[in-house]
Amino acid sequence: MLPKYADVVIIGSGFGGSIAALRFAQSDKKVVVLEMGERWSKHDFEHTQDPQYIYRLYRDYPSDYLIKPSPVVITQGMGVGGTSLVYCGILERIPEDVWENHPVFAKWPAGYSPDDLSEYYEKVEEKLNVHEPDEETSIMPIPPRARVMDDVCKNMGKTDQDTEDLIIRNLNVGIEPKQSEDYCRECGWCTMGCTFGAKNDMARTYIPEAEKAGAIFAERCKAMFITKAFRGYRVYYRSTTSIDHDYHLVTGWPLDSIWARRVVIAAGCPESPALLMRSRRFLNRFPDKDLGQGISGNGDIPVGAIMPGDTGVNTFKGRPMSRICRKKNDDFIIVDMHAPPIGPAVKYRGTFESLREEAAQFWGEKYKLTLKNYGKRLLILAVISMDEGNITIKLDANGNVVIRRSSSYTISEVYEKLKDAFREMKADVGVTDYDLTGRLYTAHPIGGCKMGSVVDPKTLEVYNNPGLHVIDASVLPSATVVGPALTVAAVAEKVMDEILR
Amino acid sequence: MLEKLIKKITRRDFLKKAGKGGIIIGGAAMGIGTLPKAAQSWITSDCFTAHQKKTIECIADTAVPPTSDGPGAIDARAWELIKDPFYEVSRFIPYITWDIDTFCYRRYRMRFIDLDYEEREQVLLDREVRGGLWGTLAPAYRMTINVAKIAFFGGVINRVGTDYVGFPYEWWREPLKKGRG
Repeated sequence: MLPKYADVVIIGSGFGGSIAALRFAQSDKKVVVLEMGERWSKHDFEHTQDPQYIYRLYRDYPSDYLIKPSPVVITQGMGVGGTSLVYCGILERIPEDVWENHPVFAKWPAGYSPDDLSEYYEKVEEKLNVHEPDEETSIMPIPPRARVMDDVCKNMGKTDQDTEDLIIRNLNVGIEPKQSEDYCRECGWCTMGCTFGAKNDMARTYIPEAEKAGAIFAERCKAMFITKAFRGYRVYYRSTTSIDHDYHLVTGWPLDSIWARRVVIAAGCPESPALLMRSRRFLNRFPDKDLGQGISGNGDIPVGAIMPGDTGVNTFKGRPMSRICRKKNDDFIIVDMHAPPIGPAVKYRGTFESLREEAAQFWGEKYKLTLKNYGKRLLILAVISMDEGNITIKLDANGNVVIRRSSSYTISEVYEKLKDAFREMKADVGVTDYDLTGRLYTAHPIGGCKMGSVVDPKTLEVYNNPGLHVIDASVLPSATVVGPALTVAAVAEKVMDEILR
Repeated sequence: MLEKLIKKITRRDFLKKAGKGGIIIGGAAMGIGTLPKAAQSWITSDCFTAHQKKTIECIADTAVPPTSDGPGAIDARAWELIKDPFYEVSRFIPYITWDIDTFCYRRYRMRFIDLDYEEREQVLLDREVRGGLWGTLAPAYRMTINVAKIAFFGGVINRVGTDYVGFPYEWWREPLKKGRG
C-alpha cells in the first residue's frame, strides 16, 4: 500500500527521475516514485523477440502503427529504470565543437554551456563507469561491421573532398569492463535488457542507492493527472496490473491519489507534456503555447544496405552500437547499428532498391529471398542529426497522445550522401519507410516542455506553479546531435543542485 | 507461486482444456464420429473451422512462402501466433475468410486456397488495401501478414526463420566457453 502523503512525488524513473529520487532521498525527504512499468532484474530479461515480451518492456506512440499510417513513431522503454533499461549503453557528451559553432545551441538558456555542464557530465560518467572500449576493457572493441562502416564513411568523405575532418572512434559506453565480475559479453541484446547485469542502467546504479536512502519506487502505477492541492499537489494515478499490454495508454479513471509538497514530472517525452496537458486545467495558469510543440526526433534515421560479396559485415555480432563517425563542426553523427531481425524485417518496414518495383509490398517471395542470410551482409547505419523539431503532440478524447508532424519536415542531407556512398560500393541500398511513406522512427524524442518557454531554466519549475518540476528530455531546447541520455542525466544533476540549494 | 500458476493458465489454455473435456464427455456420450463435420472441426481447432485455419495459413504462406532455399511462415508455425488473442487478429479470422473467398469467387470462381501463388499474391495485394467494405478489413489483413512475418523473422516459436536470415542467437557463448582465465 502506497502512502497517501510524501514530501516529493516523482513520476517516471528514467535518467531524470532516478537522479531526482536519489538526490531528494539523500536530503532526508520522503520520496515516492510512480513508475508505470514493471520492475525488472537481470534474471527477468530475455534474449527473445517475442512481441508479448517486447510489449511489456517498450511503449510505442502510436501503439497501432503497424496497421495504421502515422508520420512519426516514437519508441521508449518502460519499467523501473525507464528507457535506461533498453538503451544501448551509449553515453556521449554533446561534442564541444558543435556546441560552440551551431546556431541552435546559442539559443540554449544561460547556465547550459559545455563549461557549466562539464562538472555534471563527469559526475554521471563516474557513476555509470563511462569509458571508450578498447582491447583492455572489451572482448570485442571493434565489431566486424564497424570496420565496414569506417570504409563507407571514408567513402562519403571522399565525395566531400575532405576526409581529414572525419572523426571515427569507438562510442563511449556505460558498461562493465571485462575485468569485472558482471562483464559485458558483447551479445548485442542490450535493447532487450541486459541479462548479464553488465549495462549500467538506472536500475543498477542510482535506484538501489535511492532505495537505500529511503525512496519508495512504486511499479505499475500510471499517473493520470495532477491537481493543485493544499500547499502542494495531488497526483492521481491508477494501477496497471490488470492490463495485459498497451498499459501506457489511458484506459480508465484513476483509482488512487497521493499528495506531495513537490512533484517532479520525469516521464519523458511525449508522456511528460501529455501529463501537463491533461493537468493544465487543474493547475495555476502557465504559458502553454509551446506545450507539446517543437518536439525533435533528434534527427534519427537509419540507412541500410546489403553489401556485395563477402564483406564480412556480420551485422548481428557485437554491441548494438559501437562506433561513431562525425565531421568536425558538423551537426550529425553516423553510428553502426545492430538490429535483431524483427526490426528491419517487420517493425521498421523497408525494402531494397533492387525490389523498388514491389516497394510498397513488404512481403512475398522476392522480399524473403532478399533477406536470405542478410545477417552476414546487411549493414545498418543510423544518422543522428539536428532536425527542425517540428513534431507536435495533441491529446485524443481519452487523453492519449496523438503525434503530428509538419509537412515541411526535412531530414539531414547526410542521409542521401550515405546512400550515394553505399551505391559507389555497389551495395543494394535500403528503401526505408521514410522514402516510401514519409514515416520517421525515433527513439530519442526531445522537447515538448522546453526550458524558457514552459519551465524556468534554473530549476525546471513549471512557470507559476511553485514546486512542480519537469526533469527529463522534454525540457531540452533542441536536438543534441548525439543520444541525449548523458545530457539528460547531467541536466538532472545540475538542476537538483539548484533545487536543493 | 500462485501468481506463477495463474500466469501459466491462460484463457486459451483454459478454453483448450475445457474443449478437451467436452470432447471426452461428448465422445463418451455419443461418439465423436456422429457429430456433424463442421462441429468436429470446430472442436478440434480452437473454435476455428478447418477451412478458416487453412485460409489463414494460406495467407501467411503467401506473405512468407517456402522457397527452394528455405522454409516459410507455416514452418515457423505462424498459425499459432495468428490465432493468439494477444495479436488481436483472431477475432477477424471468420471475416477475413469470408471476405477473401467472396473476392476470389467473384474474380476466379475459386476459393483462395485453391489459387496458385501468383494469383494469391495479387489477391492479397488487393485485400491489404481494399479488404472488407470500404477497406474496413484492410488493417486486419495487414496485421495478419505482420504476425506471419513476426513468426518467421522473429523466431518466436521456432528458429527456422532466424536461421534463414542468419541471426546467430547465442554466438556470444563462444567467448564465454573459451573462458578468460
